Amino acid sequence: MMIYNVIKTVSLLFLSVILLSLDIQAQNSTSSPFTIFGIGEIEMRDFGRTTGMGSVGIGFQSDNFLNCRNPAGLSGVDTLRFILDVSAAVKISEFRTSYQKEHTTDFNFRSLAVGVRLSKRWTSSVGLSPYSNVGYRLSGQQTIQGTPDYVALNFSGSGGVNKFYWANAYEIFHGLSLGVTSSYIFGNITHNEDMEVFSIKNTYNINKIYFDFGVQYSHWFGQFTNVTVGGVYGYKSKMSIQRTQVITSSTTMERNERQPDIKTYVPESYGAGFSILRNKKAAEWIFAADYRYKNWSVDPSRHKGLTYTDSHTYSAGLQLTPNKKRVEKYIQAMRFQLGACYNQSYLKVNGYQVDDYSISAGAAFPFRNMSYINVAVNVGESKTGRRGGITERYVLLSVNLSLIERWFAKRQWD
Amino acid sequence: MIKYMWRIACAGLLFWGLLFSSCKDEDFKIGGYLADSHTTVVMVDTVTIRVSSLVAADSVVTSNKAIGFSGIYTDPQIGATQAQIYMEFNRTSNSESDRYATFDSVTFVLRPNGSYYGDTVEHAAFKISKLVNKIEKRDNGYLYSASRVPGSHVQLVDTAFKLKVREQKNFEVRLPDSFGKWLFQGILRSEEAFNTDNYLKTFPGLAISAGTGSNCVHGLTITDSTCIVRIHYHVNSTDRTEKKMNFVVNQANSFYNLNNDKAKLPSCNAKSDPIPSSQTGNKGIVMSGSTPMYARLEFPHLNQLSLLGQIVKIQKATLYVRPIRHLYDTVPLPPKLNMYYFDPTSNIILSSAIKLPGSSSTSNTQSGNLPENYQYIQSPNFPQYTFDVTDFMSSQLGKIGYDKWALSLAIPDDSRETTLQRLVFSDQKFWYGSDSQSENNRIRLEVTCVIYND
Repeated sequence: MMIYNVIKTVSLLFLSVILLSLDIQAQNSTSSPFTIFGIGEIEMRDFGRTTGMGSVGIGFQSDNFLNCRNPAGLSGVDTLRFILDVSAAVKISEFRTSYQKEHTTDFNFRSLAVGVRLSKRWTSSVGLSPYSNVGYRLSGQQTIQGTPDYVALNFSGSGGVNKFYWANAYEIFHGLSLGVTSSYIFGNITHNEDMEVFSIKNTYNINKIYFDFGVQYSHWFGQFTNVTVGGVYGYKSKMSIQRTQVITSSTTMERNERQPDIKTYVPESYGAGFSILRNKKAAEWIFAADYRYKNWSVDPSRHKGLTYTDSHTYSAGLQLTPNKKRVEKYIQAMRFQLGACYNQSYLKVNGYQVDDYSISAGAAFPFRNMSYINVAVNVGESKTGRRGGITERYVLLSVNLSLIERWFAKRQWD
Repeated sequence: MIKYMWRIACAGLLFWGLLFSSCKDEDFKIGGYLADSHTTVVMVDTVTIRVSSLVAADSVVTSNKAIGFSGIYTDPQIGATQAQIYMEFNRTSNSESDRYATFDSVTFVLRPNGSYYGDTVEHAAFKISKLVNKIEKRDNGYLYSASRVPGSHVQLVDTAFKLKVREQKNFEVRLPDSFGKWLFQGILRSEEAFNTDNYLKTFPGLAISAGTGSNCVHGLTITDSTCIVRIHYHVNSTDRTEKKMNFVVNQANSFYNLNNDKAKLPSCNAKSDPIPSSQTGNKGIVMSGSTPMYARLEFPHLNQLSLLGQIVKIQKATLYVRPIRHLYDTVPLPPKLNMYYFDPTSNIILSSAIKLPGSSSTSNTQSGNLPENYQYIQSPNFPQYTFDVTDFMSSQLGKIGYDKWALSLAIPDDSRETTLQRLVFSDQKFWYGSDSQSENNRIRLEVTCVIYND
């Protein structure tokens, strides 16, 4: 019976992963003009359990949380539990400059993950989530040299990079866990440049396997207070991006060939975080905070006016569960979250770094005894600080389905 | 049911994605400055244009054309053009009795067709003569611009008068009374010489040619309502009744002779040889009439545009043909000029819609129109004919050998045989002398190229 369940579950998961991958490729998750650079908009959020708390997780663990921020945090997953997480989000954005305003709506699936504790000390999780997103459509002009006239140009881009990962946590002794995530990042990014007689399409294919590591220590102070601290590290790793270029004129295929690979890096990264859990009467309070750093500045830019710079992400969040023990009303079993996040992105355009500020709020709706539907809203603003520069104001609504089943329990009765 | 709920929930989320899709404003314009194009766009106006002129034909059919040309004009660019019209007139029927009809006068009714070639300020001078021989068609039933009616024709009148060419109204030239009486009496008395069988031997017709002092070739409409020998007479009965006896032209048996001695053009071995513009004072010539001339434009170094970058495409190309100032003071410019494609392998001008070498779409000949009131355009502006040659230049870029085509300029088909129009335009080296704007008044080709470099 158990094996039958496993087979059916794995089959359905495999199908879901395939469909999800295809769907992620087909849809855009962003419309930001800045995704014309690099590998696009690096995904800051995990769209899971902590989205309403600023997507913290380095120093946070929970018995029903597949932590993709810190693999060591998987040690918090309870025994006998099988967790399936699937998320989707819709982002409504307004882009504005001093004299223009545009609106966009983007929807996409965001992640899929499953996790289970395989032994007393070993917890494992596999998942698929976005690594970066590209989606833009710009109109420009090209002056005709020798005249005051110009021709219209259209630029568009789509695609992104996804990450398929296998995370493992091992509890060395009670409270201290080490984790490693093996990731395979893959994807296609397409950049198009179109004018009346020319069409240029550059397709970048990314494939890379890399590893990052985590550590977490969780300690109870008495019965009611828990403090968890964590750290993560990823090493710098070379990466080659394959490029194919197709140039067509109005009547002819001018070029369709592979171009020299682009040599770049998966940047070195590290982060630290903590969380404080407090049980007061029947309510549970959690406060968590994270800092993440990535060393993008080692990568030379190939665009005029663009430099890559180190990114810093600061996030913090608060969660309240009104009554974890004896629930008389549904609302008492819900979780309520608030959070904030500040991200200095890896892009510096004409000397101005792109900054993102957001606040979040969320709620978790329990069902089926252990499962949850987590709903979160992020409201934020992303801008360069340049006068008259592009500002994006957005509302991001995410839905995460966290399905939890009880596995490995022995039957008491036949 | 609960066991399968999570599977249903997964499928539900997946299908939810299929229902929704991303959307954005169609005209999303923000952020255009972020894009760094790999292309440059340049306008090149130094493509070499090799201009030459060709005399296309020696003689054309001029019978039954409802028009004719008469006069003489010496064009300083081409040579002397001389024309005359030969007309046969239908016998009129007689319904009057000899006793009551009295001859008054005889006139020749004519109408200008608006076309002229030469100086219209001076009086129009015509010589009208009576033919001594019949107009005889060739075996194929046609008469040509090189055809003539032999014999020493009897001059009736050599006159000059102010002719309002553009009004295109009938006017009457008085002919000698002796001629009129001869005709009148012959018909009235039913003389044998004027019966149906002998009429044409007795009165073969009239010719109109250049009169003394002629300095212009005039176009005349030759139809039965506009070309008439009219005898004015009256009948003496109780009242004096004015009447007319009309001999209307037989259009089918009327034609004109026209030739140009091309004395100002370099001699060439074969009539179809193009005359380079360097031999005609850096000019190209286009002309209608019995010795039509076409201009040919070649672009021998067009392929050098391909050297501008790794990939070069032509986005737009415009040709400006500019008449040489002061050469159209006496000879009006053609209001419309047609541009055709010239295939060197067939050595003919292709006048209908064709596929250019390497092109999958059909290109049509096109016309360039002069602006109205072009005579009043002052320097530094100038009248010009404009042609969109984008398709042609795009298809020609990269072509060599027999795939290298040329452009031809000609008077449109519908005007070629009914008007006398002439255009003299400058090539890229024409020098106006002291005119500082001369560089701006030369033939010009503007090619906008899109260049891609890695």
